[in-house]
Amino acid sequence: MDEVDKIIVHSLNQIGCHIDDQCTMADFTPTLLVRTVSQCLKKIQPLSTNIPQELPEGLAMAQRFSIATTMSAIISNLNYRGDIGYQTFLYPNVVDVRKLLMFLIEKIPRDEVKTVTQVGSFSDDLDIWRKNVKETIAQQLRKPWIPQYCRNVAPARNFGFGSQITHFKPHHNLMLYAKKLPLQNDYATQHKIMNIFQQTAKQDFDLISSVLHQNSFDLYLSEVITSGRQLKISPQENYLYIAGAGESGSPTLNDLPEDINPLSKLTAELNNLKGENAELLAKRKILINNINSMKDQQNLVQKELECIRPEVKIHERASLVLDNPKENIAKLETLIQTVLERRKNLDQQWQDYRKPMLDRIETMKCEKHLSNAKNAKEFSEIIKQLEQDLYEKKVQHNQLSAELRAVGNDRAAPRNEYIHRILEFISNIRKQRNDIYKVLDDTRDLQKQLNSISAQLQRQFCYTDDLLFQTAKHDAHSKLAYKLLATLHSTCNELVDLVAKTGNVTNSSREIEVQIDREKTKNVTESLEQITADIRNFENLIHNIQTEIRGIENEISKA
Amino acid sequence: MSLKLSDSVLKGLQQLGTEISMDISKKLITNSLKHTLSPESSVPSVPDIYAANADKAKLSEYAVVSLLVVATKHCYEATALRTYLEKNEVQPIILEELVTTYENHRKELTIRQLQLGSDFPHITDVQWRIMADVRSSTSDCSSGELNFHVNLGRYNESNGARETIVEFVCSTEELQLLINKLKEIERHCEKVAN
Repeated sequence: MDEVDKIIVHSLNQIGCHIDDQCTMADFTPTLLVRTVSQCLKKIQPLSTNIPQELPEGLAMAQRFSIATTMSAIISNLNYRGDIGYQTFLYPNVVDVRKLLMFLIEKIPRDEVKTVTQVGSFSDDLDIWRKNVKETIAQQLRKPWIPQYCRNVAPARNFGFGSQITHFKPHHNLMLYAKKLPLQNDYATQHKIMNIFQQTAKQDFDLISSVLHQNSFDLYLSEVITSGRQLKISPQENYLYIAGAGESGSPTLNDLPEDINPLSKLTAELNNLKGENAELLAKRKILINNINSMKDQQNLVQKELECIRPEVKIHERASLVLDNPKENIAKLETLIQTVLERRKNLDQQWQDYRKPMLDRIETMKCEKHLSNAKNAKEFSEIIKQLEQDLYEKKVQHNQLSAELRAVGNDRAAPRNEYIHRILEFISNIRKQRNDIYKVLDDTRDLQKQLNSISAQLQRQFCYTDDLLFQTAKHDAHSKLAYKLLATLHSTCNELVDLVAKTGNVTNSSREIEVQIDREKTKNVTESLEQITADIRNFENLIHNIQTEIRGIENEISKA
Repeated sequence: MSLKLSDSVLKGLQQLGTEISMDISKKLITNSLKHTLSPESSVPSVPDIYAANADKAKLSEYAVVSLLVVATKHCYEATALRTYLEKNEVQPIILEELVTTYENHRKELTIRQLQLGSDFPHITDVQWRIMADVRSSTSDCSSGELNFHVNLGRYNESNGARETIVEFVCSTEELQLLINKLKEIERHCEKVAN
C-alpha cells in the first residue's frame, strides 16, 4: 500500500499539486484533499468553470458542505463507481481517499501526467505533421473496400490520382510527311499515310506521348543542326585557314592535277616566311642583349656618380674656405670650440638625467623582487586553498553521485519488481480461480447426489408407506410400524432442514464478518466524533442566527 | 518555361485557314480535340477533312494536337498562347478558334495528361495455387512439401484484361513470414492512426 501511495503522490506532484513526498493517504486532511481533487478535475475538464478550489476553514460550515456536495456531484458525473458524497471530503478515510485519487489519476488525459518538454517551433511543426499523417491514415483505414474499377470516379474530378495510369508509350516513328516520289498519283500517296490517330490507336501507343516525343525530337534535331554549323564559324584566323583549307581540301577525284600548283606555291611561301621569321628572331635576340649590357653600364656609372658627389661637395666648400684663409680658420676654430662646449653640456645633461633613472631602475628591481616573493607566497596560499576546495567538492560530488545512483536504481528496479509481482498475482489469481471452479464443481456434484438421494428416499418412502398401509389395515404391528415410519420420516426431514439452516446461518455470519472488517478500516469513530462536533457547531450557528433574526424582527416591530 | 514547338508543328498551324479552307480547318480542330480527350476509337471519323489536301490536313492535325498537348504540359495561360501564335503568324480566325478551344477544354486536357506517366506497378489482384508433388520420376515418393504459387497482378483499365506483375513461389515458412510482415504493416498503420 505504501508504494501505491507513493505512486499516487508522485503523479499528483507531476500535475502540479505540491504535496510532500512523505505524505500518505492518512495525511490527507479535508482541505488538502479538496485542493488536490480540484486540481485533478481541472486537468480532466479544463473547460469547466465551476470547480471549487479550496475548502474554507473554521466555522463556515454551510460553505464547506456546499463545496463538498458540488465536488461529489462532479465526480459522480465522471462515472465514479464507488460511494461518493459530501462525507468523502469532509470526513475522509484512507480506503475511500485512495480509491478516489486512483480513479481521478486514471481519468487524467495521458499528456498531462507526463512532463512535456517543448523544443520550440520545430516540435510544433513536427506535431502538426504527425497529426495530419495520423488523421489521413485513420480516414483511409475507415473507408469501405471498393473494387478497383470504382476507385477512380471521384478522384478523377480532383485531378486524377489513383491507379488509373496510362503509361508513357510513344510511337517513335510517327509518319507526318509523304515522300514525293515521281511517277505516282498524288491522291493515292496522300491517302496511304494514316493520320496520327490511326497510327497510335492501331499499335496500342499513346497519342499524347507520341506527339510530345515527336515534338521534342524535332526540336532536338534542329538544335543539333544549328549548333553543328556554329563549330565551323570561329573568329580565329588559323581555324579559318584550316576551314578554308578543309573546304577546299574536300574535292572530288577529278580536281586532283590542278591542285598541285597552288599547293606547292603555298608551301614555298610558307618556307620563305619561316626563314624570315627565324632571321628576325635572331636579330631581336642580339639587340636585346645589347640593350641589357647598356643598361648594366648605365647602372655602374650611376653608382660611381653617387659616390663622387659628396667628395665634390666637400672640395667645393674647402675651396670656398681657402679663399679667405686666416679669418675662416679663426671662425672654424671658434665653431669647433662652441661645438665642444655644447657637447660637454649635453653630456652633463645626459649624466644628470641618467643617474636618477638608474637609481629608479635599481629601486624598481628591488621592489619587483620583493613583490615576486610576496606573490609567490600568496599564490602558494591560494593554491592550497583551491586544493582544499577541490577536495571538498570531490567528496561532495562522490556523495551526490552515489545518492543519484541509489535514487536512480530505485526508479529502475521497482518497475521490474512490479512486473514480477503482477505476473505472480496473475498466476495466483489463476490458481485461485481454478480452485474455485473445483469447489463449485464439487458443490454441484454434491447437490446432484443430494437430489438423487432425496428423490430415491421419497420414492422408497412412498413405496413403504403404501406397503405398510396395506398391511396396517389388518395387522396391529404393521400399524405401529407405519406410525413409527411416519415419525421417522418427519424427524429426518426436520434434521435435514436444520442442517440446511445452520449452513445458511454460517454463510450469512461470514458475510457479516467481512462487512464488519470493511467498516472497521473506515475509522468511523473519529468521523462520528467530528460529525457530532460539527452538528453541535451547526446548532450553535442556527441558535445565533435565530436570536439575530428575532432581534431584527423586534426592531422592525418596534420601528 | 517558354513554349517550344518544332518547325513541322508551326508549319501545320500556319497551313490552317490559308492552304486549308476555313470551315474544314474548324472541323479539323474540333475533331483533333475529341481524339485527344478520348483516346479510344469511339470518336467518329470525319472524312471531309482529308478530301482536299490529305497530307496537309494530317500534318495540321498533328500540329493542333501538339499545340494543345504542349500548352497543357507547360500550363500556358490563354493570353500567352495567343501572343505566341501571333508571333508565329497563325491566321487570326484560326488563332481565336485554337485559343478558345484550349481555354474551354483546359481542365479536361489537364486531367487527361495527369493520368499519363510512369509509376511503380500497382497491384490490385492476387491469385494463388497450392501445389505439392505427388510423385516424380526422380524419386519414389513425394517430399510432401507444399509450394505456394502466388500471382500478383492488376486489371488493365482500358481493356479489362488481367496483367501479371509478379509471380513467385514460396514455401510455407516463407509465406508465413510474408504474411506476418504484412500484418505488421497493418498493425503499424493502426497504431499511427490512433
